[in-house]
Amino acid sequence: MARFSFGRRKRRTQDQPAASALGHSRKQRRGRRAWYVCCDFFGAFGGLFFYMFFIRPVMGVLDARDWHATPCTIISSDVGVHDDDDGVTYSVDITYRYEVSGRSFTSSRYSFATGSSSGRAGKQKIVDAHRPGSQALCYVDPSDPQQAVLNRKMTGGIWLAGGLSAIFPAIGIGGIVGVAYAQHRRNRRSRALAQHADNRTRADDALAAFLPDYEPRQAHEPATLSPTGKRIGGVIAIFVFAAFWNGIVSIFANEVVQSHRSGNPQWFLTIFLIPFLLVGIAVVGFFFYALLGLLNPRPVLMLQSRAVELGDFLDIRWQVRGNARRMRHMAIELRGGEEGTYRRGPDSVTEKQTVAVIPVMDSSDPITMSDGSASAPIPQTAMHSLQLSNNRIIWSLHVTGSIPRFPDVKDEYTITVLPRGGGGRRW
Amino acid sequence: MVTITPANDRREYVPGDEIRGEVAWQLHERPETLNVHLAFVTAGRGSTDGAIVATHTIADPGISGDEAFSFRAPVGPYSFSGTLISLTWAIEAEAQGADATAREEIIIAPAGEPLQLHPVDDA
Amino acid sequence: MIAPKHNPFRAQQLDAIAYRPIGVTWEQIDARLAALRCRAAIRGPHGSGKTTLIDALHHRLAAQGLRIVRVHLQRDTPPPTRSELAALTATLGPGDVLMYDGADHLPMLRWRQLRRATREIASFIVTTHRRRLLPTLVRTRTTPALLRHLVAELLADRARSDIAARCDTLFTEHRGNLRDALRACYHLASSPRRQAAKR
Repeated sequence: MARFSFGRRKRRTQDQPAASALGHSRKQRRGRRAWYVCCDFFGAFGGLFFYMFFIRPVMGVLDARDWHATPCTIISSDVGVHDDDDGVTYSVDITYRYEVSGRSFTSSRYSFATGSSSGRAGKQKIVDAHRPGSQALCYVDPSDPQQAVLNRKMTGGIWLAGGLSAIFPAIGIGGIVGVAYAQHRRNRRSRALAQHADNRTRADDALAAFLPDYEPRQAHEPATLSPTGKRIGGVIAIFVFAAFWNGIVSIFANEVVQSHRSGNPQWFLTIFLIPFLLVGIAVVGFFFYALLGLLNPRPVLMLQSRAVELGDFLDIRWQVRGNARRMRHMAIELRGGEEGTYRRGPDSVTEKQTVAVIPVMDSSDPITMSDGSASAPIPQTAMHSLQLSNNRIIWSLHVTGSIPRFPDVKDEYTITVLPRGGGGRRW
Repeated sequence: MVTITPANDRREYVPGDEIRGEVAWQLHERPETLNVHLAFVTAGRGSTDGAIVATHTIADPGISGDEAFSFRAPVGPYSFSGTLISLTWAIEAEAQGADATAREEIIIAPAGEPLQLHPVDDA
Repeated sequence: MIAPKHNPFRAQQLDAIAYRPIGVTWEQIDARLAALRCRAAIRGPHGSGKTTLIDALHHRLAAQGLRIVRVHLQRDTPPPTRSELAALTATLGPGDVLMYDGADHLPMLRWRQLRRATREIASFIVTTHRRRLLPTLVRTRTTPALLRHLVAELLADRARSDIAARCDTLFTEHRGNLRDALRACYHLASSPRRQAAKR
């Protein structure tokens, strides 16, 4: 009988080499794929806007360096007023006549900037300088005399439009590059671990039966544990989602508002849109909440080693980056717990139970909270870490800090507790 | 029939101990091989996990016979019993091709007794 | 406190529960499978015995000398890629049976690919919660009486009338999901027996 299971780890026997590659769960791959899709969306549409509002005008400016300066007569000039749903914007509307090789042409292009923008005063100034009947100098494309422009330089409008429209493709490309780089680092680490596999000792092989991801060299290196990267990443992720969600919802919301303003309300769409609007508001609120979290003081833990044997001490040093006085209270605990996953067909459910809580520090004194060290005793009678497909014993450091009126600090870092004689520090 | 008899009837070991014993068999048909495994298995809330960490193979064992075996108790995992998970070590014998097995549970733990993990309130 | 390995409701015991047809016999199931040309779906809500039934059919078909290929797709993992499915179906022949547990988690294109690739094999049986992927072989369902029966079987000779008395409540609480109801019994069994309700 042949069995296939997409996503399940195989039962390991003595003959199989120790698994040294980091596991990329399918859930992580699915998350990456969804992230790529979002980034592609941002990249594609943002790129289109960036091309229209910046790239194309810049190409026009560069081409126009070779155009011929030609005298022209202003026929009409005015500030165009455009009143739409986004508000009132203005444009420079100048029409002029010029001659090339005895033929007369007219053009209404002032500069290579596209669209209209706010700010009437600057445009009025330009219009006042080009009164109807006055003479001016325009620039004509020698290969196509129908193409002409009055101002062939880069204008503030082009820079502004370019800056604004660059945000979305930047998010898209940045997101893709970020995930790809993180993936590249994970792959590099996997290859490095695979190369070290041959150097494993007999004790390491014995550990591989129940700690397949344990890498002795790495586990015994000093480690600095900080939530910063995770927090920033979380805020960016929430921002991207909020922008994406509210961007789409706003299109329909605008339609609903217009329908009500015009006296012909679309009630079905209004009611249908309410839950989406509520989610959008909640996500924006959550974004600001997460942003506040970035301003929090950040407890950073420094460990001599992320792996420790039963009966040994885990040496921990902590420092709070930022203003520790904002924390009313801080605690660090070492917790051990059981985790059991029951898989039946396509379904799985995981249950957890804490079996050990070892206080490391617990203080309301700002000096103690801002900088200190402690040694946490790992009881000799406790159970070491266990990492099987469905059954695990997990040890982790929990850092909690209460901050009035701001999100509390709640960070968690996994460590490895080894059996006695399971891998003392060799490096 | 296959039987496993630990030496001195001893079933409690600490990591590093020598696990000695004898396997005896009396079968109806000739097996291809007879394997004696040192293995652990989990039971409880989660689906089963297990691994064979050592094997003593008896090639061409014949219809009946007996042979001594010896393993070194590994550094882990320890035998333990919690709220959600029990981990049990055993010496298992299987006669391949003769459909006969035997199993003898043992304990591998620092104190020679399974560790007991008690629930702690998470609050 | 009872050790997990002795808990009558541990995962290993739940996995060993045999399927009990309700309102239909095994002969009727076999006949219907043959009538559907061995291409059928087992439909039913969560925890109603779909995987248990597919386990039973596995043994019955294996006893006929057929080679069984079992696949299950975990709900929290991405579905197989096109090439992974192609690699799977490339191993199947006319005398083989493919049992796909969780087929409704497959995207439509992957499902079509699988359906096309299994036209020539002996039997193709899937489990699904709702989607009509293939004609229905059995629609699994549960009853409070079935839960009481299974609890009694798992408890065997253990005198735990407190757990038995809670069966109907558990059935209602878990809306007929027997897997969750039986899992809830795990913690009841691991605690010391409760005293009978005050008279």
